[in-house]
Amino acid sequence: MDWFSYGPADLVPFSSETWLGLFGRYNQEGLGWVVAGPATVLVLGLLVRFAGGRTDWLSRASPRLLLALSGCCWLWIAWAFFHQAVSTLLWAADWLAWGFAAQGLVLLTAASLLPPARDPANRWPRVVGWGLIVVALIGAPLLAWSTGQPPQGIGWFGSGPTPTAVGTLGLLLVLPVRLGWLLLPVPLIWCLLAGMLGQVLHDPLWPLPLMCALVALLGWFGMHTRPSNNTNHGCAPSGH
Amino acid sequence: MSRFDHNRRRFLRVSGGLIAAGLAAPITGARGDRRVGGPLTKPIPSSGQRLPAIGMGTWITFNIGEDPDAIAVRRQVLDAFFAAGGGMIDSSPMYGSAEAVLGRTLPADALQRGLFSATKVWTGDGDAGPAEIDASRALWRLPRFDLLQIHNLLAWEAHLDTLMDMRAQGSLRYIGVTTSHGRRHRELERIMADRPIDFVQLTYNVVDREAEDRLLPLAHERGIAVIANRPFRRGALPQRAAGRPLPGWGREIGCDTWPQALLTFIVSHPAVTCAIPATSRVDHMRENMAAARGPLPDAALRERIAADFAAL
Repeated sequence: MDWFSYGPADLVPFSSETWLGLFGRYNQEGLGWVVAGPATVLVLGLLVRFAGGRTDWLSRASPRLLLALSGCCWLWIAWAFFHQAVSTLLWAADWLAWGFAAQGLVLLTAASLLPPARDPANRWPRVVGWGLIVVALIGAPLLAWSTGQPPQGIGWFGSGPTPTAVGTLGLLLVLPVRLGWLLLPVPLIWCLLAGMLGQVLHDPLWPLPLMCALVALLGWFGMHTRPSNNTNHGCAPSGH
Repeated sequence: MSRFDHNRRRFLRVSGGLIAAGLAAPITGARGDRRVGGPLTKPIPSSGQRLPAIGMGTWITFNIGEDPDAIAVRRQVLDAFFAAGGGMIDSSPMYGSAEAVLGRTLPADALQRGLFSATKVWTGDGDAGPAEIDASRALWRLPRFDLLQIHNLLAWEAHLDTLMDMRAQGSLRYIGVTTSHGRRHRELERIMADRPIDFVQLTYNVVDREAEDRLLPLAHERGIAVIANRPFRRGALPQRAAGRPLPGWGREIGCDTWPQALLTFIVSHPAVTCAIPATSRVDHMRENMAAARGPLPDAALRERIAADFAAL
């Protein structure tokens, strides 16, 4: 098939009303909210532990637990959102489900590996990561609500694909992670698709996932680039 | 049956259909027909069977999943469609849940009320075509389709063999090939010239008129019925005309609104058999179905409609 002759609008066979209605039923009847609530609380709690710098078991394990938790969220979205809910509307939903499932499995794998030593250089990407996490947990839902989206149609971290993708990008910049390069593409691709979908459906917030992806990408390169100093104005790889 | 035999029979059928419909005249003089006050109907050239000129598409509007409220509204939309004399409904496996929703919302007596069922085969694997067609038939809850079309020319050679077999066996009445957005016209033209298809579906509206150059004349010459998709460019054309009064010529062709005039423009082309606007609203369905009920515009008025719309 000549895929390149298709525009984004040709590949979205539903209206914004239908999409929001599907989200509403998924949140209320498909346990979307039931998953999103505990996921958000757990992520916040673990992030507080992680940022606190304490040496107790939970604080030390928080990076792994955060990765494992987000991995479970990706697996949940693959099955409950794309395979169960969206597949009735979109023929490509199962492809997306496979992508999200793969991301979930890689996140779980990364959580099982020992984290690398944290590189003290270049702190700004970590600040970017925290910003993305705030956007994912609170900012995006609040912005959606402020633009008149019905509360039941709003996606949340843990159950909605876009906040979960943005939040995961934030975690990858904040946490010491192995396999990070393998964890980046799927959230970035989803943010790109989410932006295109939002534009087709006339969502006023359609640039948000695209901006988050761009910022995350910059942060990622920043994290893997040594800062310049007085004697060396070039950038060398950090060796990660 | 050899291709020659088929073409010979086809020529006789087409000739008969055209003569019966008064369409053997030059293309500029061709017209549809209607009962007094009824909807405009036009003949399918290969059989002479008449089809209401305003049909219904299901892209986006019937892909609503399991939403019970939306399903109830679609049931009302279909009731309004059939009450106004509608017949042709077009869908595709590509349209998500549209076929399943149609199966749940079509009136029980849809066939008696004149349903002309048209869907598509949309898979890159020719061997998978029959299973997909069976699945579509189960979703529509129909014993057979009137028209099966090869969606966007996908694996068209393999599917065409399947559809020709089905037509020969009597499990299908008509075969078609579709395209949209003006894509792959050259390949479509080749198929229209060489293959024994009954229908072609393409994009044609007041601003997308590329088909007028070659495809519509060829369809007329070859006796191929034409379904015009994207009559409103996914709602963009009525949106552009929103709030603008219809010029005085609207009364001459029995139209009260721009959307009606846009549909009348399409089906007034002599080679176009029907247009398939899609809507999720009962009032829009009634408005659409009231189009093309007056005298059809002649070539000069058609150009004026296009010019007036372009000036909006």
